[in-house]
Amino acid sequence: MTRDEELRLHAYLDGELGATESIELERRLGEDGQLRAALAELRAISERIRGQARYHGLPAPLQARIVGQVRRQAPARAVPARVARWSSWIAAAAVAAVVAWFAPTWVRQTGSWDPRVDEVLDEHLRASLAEHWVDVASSDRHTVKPWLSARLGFSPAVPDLADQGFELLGGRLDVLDARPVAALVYRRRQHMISVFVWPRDPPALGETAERRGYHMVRGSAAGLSYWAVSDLNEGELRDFTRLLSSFQ
Amino acid sequence: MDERGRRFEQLVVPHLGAAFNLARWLTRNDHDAQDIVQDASLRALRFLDGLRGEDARPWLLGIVRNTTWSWLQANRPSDLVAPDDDSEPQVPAPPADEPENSAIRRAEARLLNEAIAALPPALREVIVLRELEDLAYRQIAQIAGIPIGTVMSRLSRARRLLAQSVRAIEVAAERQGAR
Repeated sequence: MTRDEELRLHAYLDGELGATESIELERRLGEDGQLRAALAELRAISERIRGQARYHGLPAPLQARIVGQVRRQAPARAVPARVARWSSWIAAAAVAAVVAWFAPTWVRQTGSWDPRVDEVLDEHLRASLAEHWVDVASSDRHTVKPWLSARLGFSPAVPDLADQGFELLGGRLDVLDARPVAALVYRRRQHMISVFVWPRDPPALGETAERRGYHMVRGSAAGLSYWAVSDLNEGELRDFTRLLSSFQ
Repeated sequence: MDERGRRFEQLVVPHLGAAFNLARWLTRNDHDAQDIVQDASLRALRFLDGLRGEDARPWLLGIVRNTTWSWLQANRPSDLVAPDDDSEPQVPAPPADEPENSAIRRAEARLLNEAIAALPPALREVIVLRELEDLAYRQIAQIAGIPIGTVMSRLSRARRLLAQSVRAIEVAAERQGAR
């Protein structure tokens, strides 16, 4: 069994495989006894963990202690309107703290952050495997862009390239090397294209890669860097990224 | 009590059990897990205004997870030394002697728990979040701050290791049953 097949089996067991992928896998399970045995073994270990692993219940005194502490603290936090200026400063500090808290690896980066090429492809494949291409489905860039920028610390350009034959399907949030990025999704005929976008670090324009039959082109536009990845042929993917980069 | 305190009791308190379970599995110690959950709860209270419309359980577990890893880094850095990817962590050996069937059952459950506890924390957390909290890959990725592809590979690796332990336990049980 290849690693890809193994991951597919886990995703199937966990209900994370898309409908088409599931049907395809079920067809193969019908034919392949070894695959069936592997799935049965996975299911057995999963059920065993669920049945026998200990769920450590919350000690009642701990809950009482936490609730008591919050009740004591909470009223003190009701700030009168007069000191609103202070509180907005505190809010800003809190936001900074949250960012530092949730994205320590990001904050520690020193401007040369670059996701590993294999991870970029993995995320594209993962979207393909789960058939979950978009969190916001819209061919209207005026819908996709604000949806993404409201959830990320930056606002990616979302070019409308329908006239050039690249249909915008929408966008999704993704994580590359522990850092949140935007993913724009386009379609060329039956080929899906993911464009992963993040605030610009030193750009490496025109860099390309090929992994397992997928083409990848690196570029930058409007202060943001991106990787475009697709099973589309390299020539057309390059045309596409030229369009992306020229869009302003 | 003010609005924030009310929101805390509505949104956070129902998930304190999940918070404790995660911290307990990661620290493998009741007392440390309690300290961590208390600390994480106060952080959650501070960040509560940032919780808007999303599911509170993965949000809280993300805070607990980060609090726990910071605590481990400060207090038990040796727990976090990542074994290199090919080395297999030690799984507990089955006991040499264990009479009676019910005792064997109990011993099996105990050994499975020991096998989970013996996993490296990065694998242990995905098992706890997937099998005990039944969270989706995407939620686990957000909580642990890793890509979904990494969630998938860690989960498969963790299950493979636990399946090996279970096989070893069963072989030992059969040996005893045959005796």
